[in-house]
Amino acid sequence: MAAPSVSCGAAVPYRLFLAGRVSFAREQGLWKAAASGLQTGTRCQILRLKHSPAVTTTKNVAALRRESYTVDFIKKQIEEFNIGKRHLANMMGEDPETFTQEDVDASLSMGFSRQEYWNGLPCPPPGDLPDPRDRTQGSCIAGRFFTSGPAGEALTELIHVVFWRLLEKTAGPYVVHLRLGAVLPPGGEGHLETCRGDMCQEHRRAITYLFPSGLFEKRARPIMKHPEEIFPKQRAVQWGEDGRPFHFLFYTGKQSYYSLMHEAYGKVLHAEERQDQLRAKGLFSEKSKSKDLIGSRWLIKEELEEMLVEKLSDQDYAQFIRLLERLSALPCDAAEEEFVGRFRRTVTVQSKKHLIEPLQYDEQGMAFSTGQGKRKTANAEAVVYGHGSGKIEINGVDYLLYFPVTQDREQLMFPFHFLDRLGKHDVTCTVSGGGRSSQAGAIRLAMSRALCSFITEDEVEWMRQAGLLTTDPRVRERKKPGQEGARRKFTWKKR
Amino acid sequence: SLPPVLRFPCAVHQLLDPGRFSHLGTQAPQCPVAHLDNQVPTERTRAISRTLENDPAKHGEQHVGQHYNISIQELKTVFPHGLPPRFVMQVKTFNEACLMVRKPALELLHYLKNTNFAHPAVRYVLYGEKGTGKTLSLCHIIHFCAKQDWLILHIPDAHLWVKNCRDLLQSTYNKQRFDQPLEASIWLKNFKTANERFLSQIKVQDKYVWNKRESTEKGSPLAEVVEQGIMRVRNATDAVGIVLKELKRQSSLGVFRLLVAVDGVNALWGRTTLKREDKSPITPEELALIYNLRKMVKNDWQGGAIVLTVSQTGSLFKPRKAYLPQELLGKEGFDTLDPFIPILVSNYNPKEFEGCIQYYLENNWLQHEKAHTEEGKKELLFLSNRNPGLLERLCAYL
Repeated sequence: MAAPSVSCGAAVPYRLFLAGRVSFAREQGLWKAAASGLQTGTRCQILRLKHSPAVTTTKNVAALRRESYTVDFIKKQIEEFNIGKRHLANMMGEDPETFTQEDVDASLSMGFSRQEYWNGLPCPPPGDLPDPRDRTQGSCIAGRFFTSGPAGEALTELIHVVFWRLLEKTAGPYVVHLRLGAVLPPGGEGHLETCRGDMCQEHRRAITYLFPSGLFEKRARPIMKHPEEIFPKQRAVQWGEDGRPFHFLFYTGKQSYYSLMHEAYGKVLHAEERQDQLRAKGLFSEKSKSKDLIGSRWLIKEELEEMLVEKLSDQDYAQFIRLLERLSALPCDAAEEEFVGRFRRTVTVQSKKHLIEPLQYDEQGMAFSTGQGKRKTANAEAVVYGHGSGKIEINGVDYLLYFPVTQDREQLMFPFHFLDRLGKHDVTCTVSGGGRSSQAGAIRLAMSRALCSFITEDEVEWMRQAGLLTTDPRVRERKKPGQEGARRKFTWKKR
Repeated sequence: SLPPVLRFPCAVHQLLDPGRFSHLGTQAPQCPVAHLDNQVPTERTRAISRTLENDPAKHGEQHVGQHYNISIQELKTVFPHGLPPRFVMQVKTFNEACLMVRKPALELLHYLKNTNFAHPAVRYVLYGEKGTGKTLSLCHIIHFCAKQDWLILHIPDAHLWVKNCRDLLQSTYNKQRFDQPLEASIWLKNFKTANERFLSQIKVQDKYVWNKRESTEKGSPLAEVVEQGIMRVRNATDAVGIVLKELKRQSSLGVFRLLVAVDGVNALWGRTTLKREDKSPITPEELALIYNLRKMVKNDWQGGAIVLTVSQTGSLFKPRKAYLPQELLGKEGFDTLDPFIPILVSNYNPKEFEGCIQYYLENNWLQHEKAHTEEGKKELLFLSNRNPGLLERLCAYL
């Protein structure tokens, strides 16, 4: 049977593939057993049935090996994806040509009415469910969502099959491919769309069951992306029929890396030669190259590995970067600059751009600004007035009485002292939750955020670098069972 | 490009560290103020922080924010037990006792100067938040009265009499009440030091029998009663009671002027932490000292004044944020003390704050390089919010 690959390490994408690893007979046996349990139709029943003793939990060693996808398979995935995208665009009512990936993601998360689709599309009435056991369809299990009764059974069957497979194979993540909708236009190729939306009760339940959107783990939610992004890049076979490798550097072991080094060094030599010629002619002029190097950084090792689809060592990477720097130091022409540019990524100088609210004015004409802050479980909101004498009032109480500890008052002092505006602003704030230290930290953050409206952009950047504008992400770590606290273990007793 | 900025450390001693915190870049540490180099600025600072007027009677509005000196001998006579402990340490360190002239004290002095001694004694209550200077204002008043030759009846902290008493004896005079021999004897000793010259002049007007062998005749000087209390510790509480009674009686006659100064008067009407042998709590009335003191604080005598302070610091079972007389005295105390003149003691105003900082700088108390800069002063201002007690504690680290 065709064995489309198991994706390893990838997120469970929306398009799921079922690997046909199990023997046919066993499958059938369990299928019958499962089918008998279907009458009840409740979820827990089905699940209970899954844990039958026939399910073995031996380590599936073969599945752990990285599976390779064939080139044809990837091509087919890409075609399917494109078609699915077009259908999605049609359903959304957008132009298929300009339907970008963001729109795909947006529509997936929003959902749309399935009915619209069915009403619009000239589709054969959904009647025949392809046999789940039929492996000839590239091991895809077709499912469909209908509004009729018998289809509900089909759906539950589908759910059953999916989960049976998933549970049976405990080793490694499995990819289950569901074709939703009666996807049998004459071509046999399926549409790929996700549907959530306005359907009848049981189907909606089915969808939320299959594609639960209540998942906290974002990587577990259904996604629809270009196959290039989902399937990891793999190298095609490097040698021909006669066993002779294609590339002349194959026997170095890292052919792409060495060929890249070769190419780069060739360019370096070329540039140096040109430079010598220019010098000889006397037309040599110093050109500064710094402008394209600012605002960008070299590729990191992981990115380079990904680009070359090869493992590199740290020394290799360092050598490569040194060579590129040498190349960029020489006066280059456009081709060489483009070559170097392939290995640079832009870096935004102001990595954090957050909105600065404009000043608000109250009845007396006094400028003020609000800010909110959090620390551990304390929430604070601060209102900073433009002109004042340095008074701070917290929950109606003076800050001296509210924070008798000097450390807390120092925390409050930090933003003002940093900006040299110690006696110039009045603050009124409210705070709740947390302890004394976290309340102080929360108020500090709220005040800094409110102060952003009064100061220049440079000062905002300095504050950000000082750490005044970042919410402290540290929260109390949970206590684990078997340990006394979050990290502390029970006393070890020898006997 | 962007200047270097470091994370803000939390400890006080790192707070004003030069070069650690400033976002203007690292600063070179500056030399501490050298008195030898420049005399002129110190003269000017002296003008701000000190005054040469050492007589409280002559203090006026123009002296607000300035410190005046009390000589050490006077200190020993007038304040054997009255000063707050931190102030005593400061006196020992600086080798001089300087009190700041402040507005609440000036107000009280004004009232005291204009008292009519024919009328019943007026009660003044100094109240305010913790650390604002109530006790030291009281000391200022006491100094004034001592200079004016009043008889000072100063109870440094009434809270000490309602807690942490090891030995409670059943009173010999009245079976229901309890004696506190230790506290009473200590107080009698200090009272003797403070009012030495009066004790021989005042004559007792009753006969008091201590026990089978000892008694004090009518007409004998009060010093004898005090001696008796000091020597026979068991009778100390009764001696105190006698002293109070006599003084009250005789001040109305106009022989001398009496100042009753009690710090922490809210202890008289609160609760105590003392328990009987059967672990039942004792109310303040059952303590003989408190009972007699309550009689003293009533305004049914003439020829003097009563200056009181309510404070939360030593109080029992009172919330930290309470500072108003109503909250601290309770209903019973408030009713007893009513009517009184409340005087609010608040944090320093900017001028006083400046004066205080200058005083510390003059005595080379603030060793930190940034202490005499404007930024340093602003930081101290913010951190202490001009609270005298807090400022003193903060400066202790610098």
